[in-house]
Amino acid sequence: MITEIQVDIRNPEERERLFEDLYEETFPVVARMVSRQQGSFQDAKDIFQDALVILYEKSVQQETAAIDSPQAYLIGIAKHLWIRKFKTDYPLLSLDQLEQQITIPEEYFEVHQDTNRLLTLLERSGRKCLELLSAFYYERLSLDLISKRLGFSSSHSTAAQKHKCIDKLRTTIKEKSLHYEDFME
Amino acid sequence: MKTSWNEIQLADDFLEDHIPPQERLVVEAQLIVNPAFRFSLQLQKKLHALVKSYGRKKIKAEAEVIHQKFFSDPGRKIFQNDIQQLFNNS
Repeated sequence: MITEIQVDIRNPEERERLFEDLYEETFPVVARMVSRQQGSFQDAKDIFQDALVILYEKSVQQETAAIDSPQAYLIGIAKHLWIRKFKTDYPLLSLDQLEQQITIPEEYFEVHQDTNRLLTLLERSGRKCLELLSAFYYERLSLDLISKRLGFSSSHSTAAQKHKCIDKLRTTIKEKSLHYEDFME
Repeated sequence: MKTSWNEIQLADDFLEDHIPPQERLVVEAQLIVNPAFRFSLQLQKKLHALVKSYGRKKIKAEAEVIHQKFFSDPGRKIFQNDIQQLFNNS
């Protein structure tokens, strides 16, 4: 049983091992919960994978001082996701003290169609920049680590490349967004 | 048009809530009176949202690889059957 997150979740190999352990130990618990709520296998899979994403984000952002039991935390996130996604009444799913403290990012289910369209476009034309900016903004890696991962000669050249990428993607977003209102959400 | 380093840094700090309350008020006032800055900040916000969507998509793809491994590996038949049984009865 996993008692706490002892792995470096930013490291892809260590993350893979953690996710495998969590799949083995926690997916059956989440699947049982979903089946009791009349959900499908696909619902259980979606909820569980979304919960893994949120667990990853909370670990990376160090939002929680210490995640003592990733298994319990993951189940808590999954319950919140189920309640949020299917607008289930709380009484049907009880939340313990730890689970009540868990929050789900407000915007998690609010991905706009325009965002998906733009992302597909950027994946075709600017994947390298997405990789760099994702490492910086999403994975919260230091410029030094990004340099090593992406093969830049120094933190300084990574910072310069990051700035170029921001400019490039901002220009694409500006050119390809259909509506001015897209920026006024 | 190239965006200045300072402008991007300010937008990032604002969006990630890294600005002290007093300075934040100044930035908020700028947002009211300066439409170009307001547009620039919204652009940066859109960029952040896109990068986050990309990051989430990648993590979910990693989870999907593990899912496929668990549900196609003949060595995990007991695991697969236990899960399947939960949904056969419903």
